[in-house]
Amino acid sequence: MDRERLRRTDLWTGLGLAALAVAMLIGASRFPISASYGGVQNVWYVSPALFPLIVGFGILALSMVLVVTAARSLGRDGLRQALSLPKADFAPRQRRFAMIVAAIIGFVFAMVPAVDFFLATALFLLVFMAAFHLPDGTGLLPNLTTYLVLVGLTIAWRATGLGEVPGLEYVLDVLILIGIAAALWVNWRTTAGDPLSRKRLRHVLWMVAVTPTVLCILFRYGLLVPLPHEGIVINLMEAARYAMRG
Amino acid sequence: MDVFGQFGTFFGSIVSLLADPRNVVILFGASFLGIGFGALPGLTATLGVALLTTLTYGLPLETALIALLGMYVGAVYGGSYPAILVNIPGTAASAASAMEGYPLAQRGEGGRALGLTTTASFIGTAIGMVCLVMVAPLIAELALQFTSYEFFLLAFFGILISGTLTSGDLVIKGWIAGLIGLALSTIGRDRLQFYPRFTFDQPALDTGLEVVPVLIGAFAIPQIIRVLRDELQLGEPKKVRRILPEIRTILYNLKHIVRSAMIGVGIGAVPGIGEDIAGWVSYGAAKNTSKQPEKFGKGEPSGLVSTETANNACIGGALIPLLTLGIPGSPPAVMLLGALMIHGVTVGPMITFDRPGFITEVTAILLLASAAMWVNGMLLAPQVVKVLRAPAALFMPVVAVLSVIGSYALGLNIFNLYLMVPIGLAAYFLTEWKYPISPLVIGVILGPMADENLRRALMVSRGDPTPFFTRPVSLLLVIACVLLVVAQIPAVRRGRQRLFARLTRPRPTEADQSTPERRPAPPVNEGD
Amino acid sequence: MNQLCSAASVLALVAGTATALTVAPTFAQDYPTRDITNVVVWSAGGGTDVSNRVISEQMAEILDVNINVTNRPGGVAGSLGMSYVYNQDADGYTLVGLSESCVTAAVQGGWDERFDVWYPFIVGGSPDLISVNADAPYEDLAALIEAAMADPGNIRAAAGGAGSIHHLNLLALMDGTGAEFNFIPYPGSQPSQTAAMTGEVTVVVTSLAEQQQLLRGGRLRPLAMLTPDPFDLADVGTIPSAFDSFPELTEYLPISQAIGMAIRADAPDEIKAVLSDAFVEALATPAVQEWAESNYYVLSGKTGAEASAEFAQLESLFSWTLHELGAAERNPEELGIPQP
Repeated sequence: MDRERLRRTDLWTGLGLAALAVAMLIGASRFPISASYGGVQNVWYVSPALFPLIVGFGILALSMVLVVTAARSLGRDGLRQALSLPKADFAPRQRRFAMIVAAIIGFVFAMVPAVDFFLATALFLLVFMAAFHLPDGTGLLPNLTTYLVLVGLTIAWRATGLGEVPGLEYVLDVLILIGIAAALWVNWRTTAGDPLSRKRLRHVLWMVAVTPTVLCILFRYGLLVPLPHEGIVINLMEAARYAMRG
Repeated sequence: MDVFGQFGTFFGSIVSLLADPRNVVILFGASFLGIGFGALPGLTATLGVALLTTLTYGLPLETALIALLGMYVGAVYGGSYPAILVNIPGTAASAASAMEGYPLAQRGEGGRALGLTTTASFIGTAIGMVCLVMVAPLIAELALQFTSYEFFLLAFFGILISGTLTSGDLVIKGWIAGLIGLALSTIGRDRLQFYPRFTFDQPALDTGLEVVPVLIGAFAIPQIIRVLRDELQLGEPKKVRRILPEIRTILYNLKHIVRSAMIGVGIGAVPGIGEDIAGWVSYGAAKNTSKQPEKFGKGEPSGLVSTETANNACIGGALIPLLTLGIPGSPPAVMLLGALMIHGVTVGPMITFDRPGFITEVTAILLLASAAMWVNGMLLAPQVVKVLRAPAALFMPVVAVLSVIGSYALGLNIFNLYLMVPIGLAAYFLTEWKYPISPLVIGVILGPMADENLRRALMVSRGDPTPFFTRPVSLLLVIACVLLVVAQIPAVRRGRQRLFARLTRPRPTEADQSTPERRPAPPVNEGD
Repeated sequence: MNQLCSAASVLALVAGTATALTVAPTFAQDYPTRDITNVVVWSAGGGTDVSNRVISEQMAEILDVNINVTNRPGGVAGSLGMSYVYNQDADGYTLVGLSESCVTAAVQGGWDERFDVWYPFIVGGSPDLISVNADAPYEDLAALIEAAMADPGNIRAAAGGAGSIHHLNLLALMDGTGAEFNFIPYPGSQPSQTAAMTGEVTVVVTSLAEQQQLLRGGRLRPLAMLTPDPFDLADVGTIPSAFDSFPELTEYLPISQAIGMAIRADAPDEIKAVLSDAFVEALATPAVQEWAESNYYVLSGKTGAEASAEFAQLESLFSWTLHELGAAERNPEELGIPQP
């Protein structure tokens, strides 16, 4: 980013931070300032408000300095330009950004809490890797679409609350398993007829097979970390382990 | 015990420890595991030591200690791998290493950077160890000079210095990032009175933001986005050089190493703060004393060597108050204290009477641990560098999954995941707008310490701030903070170029330099 | 690629059936057949964590399964770990490692359950005592109390965090003697003791286990045990009981630590019996006895009704004290907690 554009964003972030600082100061001013709380005699210097007030004033002061510096270095013309809204930008770069953010948000907020960690990870890796590893960005849109559909499905299923009903615990896991198959199919079709794409897809499939297996075994049995959601695959792993131990 | 007697026991314990082949296997195994723990985002030295504590319960004390210290040393060192190779520090301790290490790796000198890191870490640990055996009582007394006043100023200084050093653009933006971190740290119940601050009635926010998800979110997510968005290649795979100890570069940087080791030991010995701050302070010291400060941030080996020496020297430092006073000097040391308790060892002033030779034995184990780390590092580094040849599109999604499971693993709390993502996105935009991220993370880490100690200090003095200026260590810290700020004022900078530096410039004299809101807002210089 | 699709669905079916078959209900008679998880609600390395690790190790040997100790700190007074375990099945395969401070989770707004949802096993704890900075002029408790009476609220005292067991002990001491100290809160026992060493505070109340090294090293001077019995500490001599000089303290003290573990109270009785036996047996092993002695722990070994009664008493004491201090989010009366 060149310096002038940077000063323009400084102007905006400075104003935004100043607003946040004001909100913080208002919030902090409602904390008990002199009433006794928690068995500690309370005076201004003991108050839980003291530090947030200092930090809030600090942010406010520094962000104002930032705004003034930015405005001064932009000059009047630059300032007018800065205040007009920036143009929206839908370059491929932006599309890739959207894919990354969607994949991470969908994974963390929709999948991990409700889907077997093995399956959630396998699906995430499959779409995420295929979206970026297939040549010329051909994988991007198909995988983004597939993932969004599956995330939507997961959210819808969780909203019904049926997953809590005994006997239906594994329905979502099975759905995601089918979803993985669908994603495989989508990518298989996308790469049809192109040896390079197929080769890269094979790399992806290797990673998708190996990574979740290693991670689940490592964390579950090596580090004794129970996984966020243990569903069909992990319970099967657990059953196999007890069967082996006898 | 006289010095010679100590050295006698010292080498005696090394020989007897190495005589048991099981110890040797455990030593290298634990060190290897530790490097892995440090290198994977979210797995920390603390978690590693906790895990090994359980696994080594049934073993004899010295074997358990070999495993635990091997893990600790390895983990502090291992954090530098991802910092150098992909610009995602594995632990907060190695955030400063990314400043020089990543540019080096991008230039194709990743192998060299890892080699330097390995040797510097070894030297750092070794110097820490020497301090542990020679001057432990002295340093322990020094650590007792730190009361609430000094803790507050130290936390403030840590944030200030990392804000000053990391800013690629205006210095003021580094300070703002530090303040944002402090603001985030006020979320949750305050630790003195349990008053819920900014929790919006969410029980999940009651304990405040945990450091690990903030660390991972703030470093890993922006880097994942950046690399994939711009289809960047990880480093330059073309010339991964042979990895040698590079005795010449090390000798050339000897003064940096000695100074950084002293900084590391000192900071490690102060309870409550550790490797993270030591890295930044010694990086700052290296930059300020370097003949070519302009090279910093662009892959300057002396910067990397300084941070790595300091964060490993911290280990010896942290063990000093642990062993002599029973006060753990850093978070993993807390866990080590627990592990010792399980084995029936209570550390403290009586340790030399309860278990004569114990400190010497620990020192010997520390030396073995750092040697194992060095050997492992030299063998591993050439292999690890090959990671850079992997296509980013395959590597970064795996990093994303590791970040998720890593944020979850320490507290087993799914809320930490929900926290990591927004923090990561915010950090992404902040880095896009050229706000440095390290001060924010340091702010979150040190915020509670600053808050609590400021209020407690005022409680002790009943609202009177003068002890901040009358206590010797406290006064030194105040002066350091003021110099740091004043040095950024353009007029002073020009003065400094004329070699009169700070002395010609009268320092602002009004009271309360310590609280940011009363400090006259410093004029900002244009970025360079 | 229909083959792929159908292959996947077949796999799903097989997996589903297999899981349904293998995760058949386990019967209480052959408890335990699987590994047990012990979820400690405080972070690794603390007293509760260490005690739970030591005891779990012995219980694992007795029960012949693994007991995996994990930490799930956070929430209010350990509420995060407690609600996690409370939401697991009451099949005895998930234990919770906790301590006396957990009884405040309800009044502090951490969760909605009282402590009687647990069936506790009490390991014990270390007795509290009052000490002063080594350079302080007070040679015994009477001298300190006299000085505090002469200058109320000016002598600084540390005792862990506000509402901790040590703070409650300090409050009881103040109530029983009429002396008034200036309480400075610290985030735990260790920082409190460090503050007493540096002279930032004069008086410190923490447990003997936590202080013993500093007492024996001459960094702190012990004044009195806050228990009915004096204590003979190596290198220091006999620490008298505070009750000797202030008999009226018996109304307020002792308030003892209760570190332990628990399962859900609605678990089957067979499981409770198996665990209780293993617990008592584990406490009697030489390894645990030795550990307790070298760390100045007093082992309790209470289980069943006895343990529940002790926790009920602690719950009422803690909850009402916090309420009086103004630090309780909810009125203990609303929760049905009786007055002490």
